[in-house]
Amino acid sequence: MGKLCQSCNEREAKIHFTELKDGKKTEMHLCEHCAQEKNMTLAFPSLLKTLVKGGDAPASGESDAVPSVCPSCGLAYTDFKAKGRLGCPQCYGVFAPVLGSLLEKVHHASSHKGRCPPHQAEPQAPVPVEPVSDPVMEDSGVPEPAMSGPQPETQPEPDPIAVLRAQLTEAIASEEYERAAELRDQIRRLEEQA
Amino acid sequence: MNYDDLLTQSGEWLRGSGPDSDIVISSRVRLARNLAQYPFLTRATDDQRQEVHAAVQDALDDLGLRRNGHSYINLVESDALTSLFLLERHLISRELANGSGDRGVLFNRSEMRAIMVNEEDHLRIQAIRAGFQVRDAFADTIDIDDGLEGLLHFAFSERFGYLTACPTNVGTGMRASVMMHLPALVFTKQIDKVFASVTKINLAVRGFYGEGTQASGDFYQISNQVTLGVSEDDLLDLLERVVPRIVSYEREVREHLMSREKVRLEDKVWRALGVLRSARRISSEETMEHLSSVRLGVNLGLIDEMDIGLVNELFILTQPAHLQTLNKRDLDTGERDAARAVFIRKHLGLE
Repeated sequence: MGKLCQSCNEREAKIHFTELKDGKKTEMHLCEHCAQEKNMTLAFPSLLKTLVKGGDAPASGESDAVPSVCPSCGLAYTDFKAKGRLGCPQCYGVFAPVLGSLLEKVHHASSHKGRCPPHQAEPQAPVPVEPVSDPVMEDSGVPEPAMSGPQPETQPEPDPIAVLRAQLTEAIASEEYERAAELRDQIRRLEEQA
Repeated sequence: MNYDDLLTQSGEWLRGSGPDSDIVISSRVRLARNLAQYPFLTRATDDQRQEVHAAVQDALDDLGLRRNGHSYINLVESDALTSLFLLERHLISRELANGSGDRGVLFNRSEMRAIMVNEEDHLRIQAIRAGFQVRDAFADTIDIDDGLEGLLHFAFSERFGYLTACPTNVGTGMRASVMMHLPALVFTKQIDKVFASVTKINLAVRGFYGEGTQASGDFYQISNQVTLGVSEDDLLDLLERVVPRIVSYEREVREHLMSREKVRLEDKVWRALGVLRSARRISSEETMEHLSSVRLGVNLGLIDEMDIGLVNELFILTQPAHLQTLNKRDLDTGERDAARAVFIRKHLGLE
């Protein structure tokens, strides 16, 4: 039998987790039962997928201007990549830059042709949605990147340093330390230039 | 839920009528819609899910869609057997059956309409017709869509169209599919050729129970793969150009078999009927396989005096949840196979 669960000290620890808080790395070893109680199991499948896919965070070449998290529903872009489901209608606007190429691949088209709701002849105003707090978000404990609420249809243009910071947050959360180091260096270079 | 009506018959769309019904079992159109002011279900809290469910119920009420022979089943209040039963009847999807939280389906007595609530999207509006009538099915979904749109605010963007949880449905949110019975093309091993050409023109081929299911009983569902950048009309046009060609191909091969290999064909058809009429235990797969041959035999006039509607219905009524509901208890595989044989003999038997 391997390590014991740190929480119950009874069952074998099957889930090993590294938490980063305020730059400090804490290792946790839990059994499946306690991990579930701490609401942590959900984060793992997506985390695994992220690692298996070699870190599918908004990668270089895709677009630098894509927020890592939808400010409306809290869906992480990596989570979309892992599960293929968007979180809310606003996600389409938020992730529009990268969705465009994905839709092109799937549909061989990137814009709608067909029926429009009779009551929505003009572009609809975005309906504010309360951000949903999610206890299993991978970047919990790390401040979210500052981002003004992007509107659907408009391409947000956040500060490049903020974007890199967001990517750094994700890289750390998914334990991709090499990528994190690269991102940190990039941020430093940009800050020095400024 | 009162199963008595449902148990003795299937949806009207399965009765064997409609254009090209020797080959096209049914035509189905479904529209995916979401309420604009709520997150999609993967990100919705339990409260939000309940609110969506309640808002949709109110709208269906206002449209008079919860009266006059319509039934609404909330799957939260139902057991697993009910979900499976509805799944076997093509009234709900596997996703809805296996889901959790407030969700359900509204359908009318003829089962030609089914509206799923809180499936992958907040709403899945579906209409089915017997035979090849995709335009009719489409018109019905649009009726419901227009009615609901007046009461609910659907998520829509000019650029992306109707917004759906999965980007593979965005745009029209429409999936039009045609269920075809293609035993002669399978028998002569021409079917792969057909699929290869069909998939090249952005149509998808799926099994009897839709996405991710195996083709059984020589049934195949042909549907549009793409939902963005093409209008609803274009999608229906595509099916209307392609499906008749598959229908004629299947008919040609049937004729060829009848003129060149009639004895081989008759042997296959009558052996199948013999098994169905004699078996004391029979699995679902074997049933589907033999029913398919019998169906072909009836359509070719090799078997007289058998109602094609009955044969169609047996494909559904012999499924596991139907047998268990009919027998009013859970049955293990062996018991089901025995119950299935009894049920089939009762309907096709000589006794």
